[in-house]
Amino acid sequence: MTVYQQGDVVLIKIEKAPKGKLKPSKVIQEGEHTGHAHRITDGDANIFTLGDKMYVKAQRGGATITHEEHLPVTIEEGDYEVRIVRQKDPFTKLVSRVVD
Amino acid sequence: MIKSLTKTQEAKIPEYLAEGLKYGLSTERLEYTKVQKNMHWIYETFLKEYSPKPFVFLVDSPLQAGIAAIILNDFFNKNFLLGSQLRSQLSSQLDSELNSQLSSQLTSQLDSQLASQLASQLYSQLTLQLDPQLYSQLYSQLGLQLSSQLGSQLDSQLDSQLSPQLDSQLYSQLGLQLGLQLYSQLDSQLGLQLDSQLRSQLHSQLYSQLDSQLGLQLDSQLDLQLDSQLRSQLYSQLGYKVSFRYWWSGYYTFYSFINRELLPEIEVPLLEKMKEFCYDIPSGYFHTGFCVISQPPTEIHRKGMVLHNEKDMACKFADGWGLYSLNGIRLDGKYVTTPSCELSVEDVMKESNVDVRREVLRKIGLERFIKETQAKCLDKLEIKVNNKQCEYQLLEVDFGEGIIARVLKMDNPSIDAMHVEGVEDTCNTVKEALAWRNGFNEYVAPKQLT
Repeated sequence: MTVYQQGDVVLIKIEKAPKGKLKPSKVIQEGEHTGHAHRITDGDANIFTLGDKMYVKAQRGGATITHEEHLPVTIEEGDYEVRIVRQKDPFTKLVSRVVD
Repeated sequence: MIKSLTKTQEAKIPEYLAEGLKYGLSTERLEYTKVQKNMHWIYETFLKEYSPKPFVFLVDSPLQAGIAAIILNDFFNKNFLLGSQLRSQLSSQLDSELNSQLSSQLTSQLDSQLASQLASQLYSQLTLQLDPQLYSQLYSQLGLQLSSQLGSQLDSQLDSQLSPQLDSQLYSQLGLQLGLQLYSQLDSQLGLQLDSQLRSQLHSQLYSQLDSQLGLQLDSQLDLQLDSQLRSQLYSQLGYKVSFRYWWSGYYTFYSFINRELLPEIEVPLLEKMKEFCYDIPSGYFHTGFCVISQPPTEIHRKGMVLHNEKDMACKFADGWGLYSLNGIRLDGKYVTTPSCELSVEDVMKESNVDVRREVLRKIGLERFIKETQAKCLDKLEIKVNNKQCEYQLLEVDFGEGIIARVLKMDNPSIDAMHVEGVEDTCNTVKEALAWRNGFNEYVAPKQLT
């Protein structure tokens, strides 16, 4: 399995992403306190959503994902499932997606 | 076609950046007449077909500007509606008068009655829309309303007072028109004469640099702060916002470098004008018929390129509104103003946002965190992050009152900080914890991890 990770965003290479709704922006995940964002800044790639799932399709030449607090990640051409890492609250025991 | 910079030209870039930042971070109060002049020029030049010359309001903070924009929108829309109804009533009545076969005496009687009736109606309408006294009255009323509408009163009072009906299309048109016209004019005069590679190099050296320090650090964070204080429903009704000083000054710096250093023979009067409004208008809301501009902050504290103040607000406005920030992370003021000895490890772990948690942890110190929670290291592993070996630790921590949990301690070498995140109690190794964190059955080493 090929995995790329930039902070709390994980991209898992998959055979083919299902047909989803094209996201008009290139922002994968936006921070709620910083205004920082994981975004596609280079290459021909688009983000699609299907229900609560998100996919990235990178065309020939791949794409670069940047974020203000991490070094850029360059993904190769292909389809990717996007996951946001999770955490467990020690007090409530609730599991949630990490939000930065 | 200019393809590259000379060494002398390249050496000038930091000067332009410093100048952009100097104005961008200025805390000098704005003069109303200057702001009004600039706003009238902007509306006249770019938005004439979308909006009449606007009333210009200058308030103390983005919060005041936001609330004012919502209140004024309601006020102005109703007035414009009344105004247009009156105009159509007036013209139809006059038409019928003129076309009637009444005697001249009767006509004159009706005319005078009508004139007096209409004059009073018109006067009240004109007073509402044009009278400068009312303008100042409204301004002072607004100020009073604004100060009483902070905090918990905001929702209920705004709910009953407001029924904003904004046309989002119009706002996006206002913004689009303004941006498109300005940039296309400047680009055709300056930018297109540059080799595309050089253009993008300068763009990243000048525009992006300023954007990250002014736009992202100041403007975006203030927006997020405002969003958290105005209900999201109202926030979406604020209308089109323009932040000349924080976002557009990057563009101004970019074009002004091209003009002054590379193409000095071309005269670009628009650029001089752009300098005025980029430097003199921090940010504001553009509406049809009026605009509300906020004064700049009275205090801005930074550490390096990010907002940071360990004692008070990192960005503060004249009315006391502002934001707290540690190392560029906007957070609740209690984490800043409470001495670290009074913050507990529970405060760290109860904070759901990982960036905020990281800053609180940094404030209380990892040593204290480990000591107070009697953290036991269950496993450690060296992992390459940003091509650097970083140590990950799985800790078992005791928060007291029977709360024992497992947390993953990770280094973030990009910002020289540490994170702790709770993981499932069944994780016994760092690899198991990382696999659980990413939603995998077993650990998969990322091809690239940053």
